[in-house]
Amino acid sequence: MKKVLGVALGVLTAIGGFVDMGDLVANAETGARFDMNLAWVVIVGVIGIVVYAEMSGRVAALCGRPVFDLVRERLGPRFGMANLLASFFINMLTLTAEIAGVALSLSLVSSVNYLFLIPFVAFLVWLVCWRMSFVMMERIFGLLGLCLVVFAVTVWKIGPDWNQLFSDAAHPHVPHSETVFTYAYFGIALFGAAMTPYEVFFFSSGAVEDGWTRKDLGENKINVLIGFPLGAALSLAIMASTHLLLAPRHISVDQLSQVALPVASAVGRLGLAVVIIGIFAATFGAALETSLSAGYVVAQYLGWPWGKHSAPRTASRFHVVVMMSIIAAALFGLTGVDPVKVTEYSIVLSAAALPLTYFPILVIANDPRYVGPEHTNGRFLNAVASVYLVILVLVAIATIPLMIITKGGS
Amino acid sequence: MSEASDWRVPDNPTSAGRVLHATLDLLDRQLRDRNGKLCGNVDDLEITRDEETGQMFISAILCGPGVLAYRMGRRRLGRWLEEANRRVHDTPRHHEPFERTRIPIELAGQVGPTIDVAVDIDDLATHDMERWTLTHVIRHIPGSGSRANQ
Repeated sequence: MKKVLGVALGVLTAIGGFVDMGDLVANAETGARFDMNLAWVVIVGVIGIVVYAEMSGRVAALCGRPVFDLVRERLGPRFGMANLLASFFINMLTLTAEIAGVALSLSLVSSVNYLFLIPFVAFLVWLVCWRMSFVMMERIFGLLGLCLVVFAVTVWKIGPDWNQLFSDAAHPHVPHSETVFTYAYFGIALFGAAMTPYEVFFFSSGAVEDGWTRKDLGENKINVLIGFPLGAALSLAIMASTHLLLAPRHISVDQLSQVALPVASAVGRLGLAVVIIGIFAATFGAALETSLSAGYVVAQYLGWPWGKHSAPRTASRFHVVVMMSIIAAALFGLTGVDPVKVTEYSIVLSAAALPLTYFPILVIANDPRYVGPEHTNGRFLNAVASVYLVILVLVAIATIPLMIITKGGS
Repeated sequence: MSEASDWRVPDNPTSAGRVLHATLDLLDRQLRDRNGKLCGNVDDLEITRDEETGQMFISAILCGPGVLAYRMGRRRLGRWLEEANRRVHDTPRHHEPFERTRIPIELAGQVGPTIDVAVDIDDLATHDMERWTLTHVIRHIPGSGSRANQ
């Protein structure tokens, strides 16, 4: 019974932890601008993250090596360094976006300008990284993140023509008001939001922090196979809610508060309160994941001691990197950059950087010296993972030109 | 890699490929000290020629500030990192059994996803910066010495 509870808790945490600032912004924006025409990308994206997160979790459980360790081993120090610089930079953008997201959600409640809240939020994020245990941190913010289920309630309350909704999603086309380029650009944004590299950095490092072993492989599978798709369902609910309520009124989403608008109008005050808690938890949880990821990637590339499973004294450089990253992100946020724009750039660039991170995972998950002969990838998994690698490379090539052509999707 | 302790390139050329492959498998691996602490990566390898037989063999694992930069051809960066590290390493130890960026291959154990080396992390140059950040930054922050609340 206790075991079932543990697994259930893990799944709930995975659902609540799936959505972050990137998913909130990308799904709400595309719902308002493209209706359900990009819904299929969320599904493509979640299958990709399921495949690669499962592999990274399995490798971490079986040989105790997290992703960035493998990146340097398999790509060599040069490409590894290129990946480190790119991933670290993108991770900083994401961290900035998440911290701003937390501050924005708090400002909705307190009516204090979010810029004043950024230093306070940054301090809280650091404090949790410094003092709260890994399991506790994951559980609290993952479970609170479940408040985002209110988006599903919103869609249900609106009471759409379900057949129409599914038919729209199943027959995608480029809307008349948009070009093929903006369509592709926002497709990449959604894809990047679902497959952000920090997710595998954090997931695999977290597996090592939690001390996963062979026994936890089942839990790894269940968390990923059930938790992530349900998380993606939440993302789709966000998309559907803005599609149903904002698109007909030609309201575009360029502020975080507009993401909550459909909930407020369909479910009312209580709904608004719940969605604000959900947004707070989702962005706060992701702020923790990205600040720790900043430390993980640097420490793992250079072979330093890392992690928060023991006292900060035993991993001092790691904690310095985490702390400096939080400070740098907060300072960047304080310059008044548009948090929604930062989020967009972070997820689009994420998509471009993915191949260098996912390729080593695929190689190692096939190496019996790391995972043992009975736990290497099966043929089917390899086929799917290889297809994704090809998609990732194509996306990586297309990203920057699309960014220029569409002027950042505007 | 069943014979992890056999570092010499064998006379038989057909099996030489396997050993060279092993060399590839060594570089950039995670090192662990005798207490299981993470203590850097295999940044480079020292290859020595046996004077008598003319055989080449791996004589040491090199790791520490500057080593990786040298391997990547960044000599100036390598020197700068070495110099920077010399400054933070304020308590030189004199009775080390080896140079601080060089781990004799005899001290390396089984090669797997990680390589265990029979040294103490404090004797390695990779750990100087860790100690420096500990004494100058981390130790001054309350709560640094205990595990997080469960």
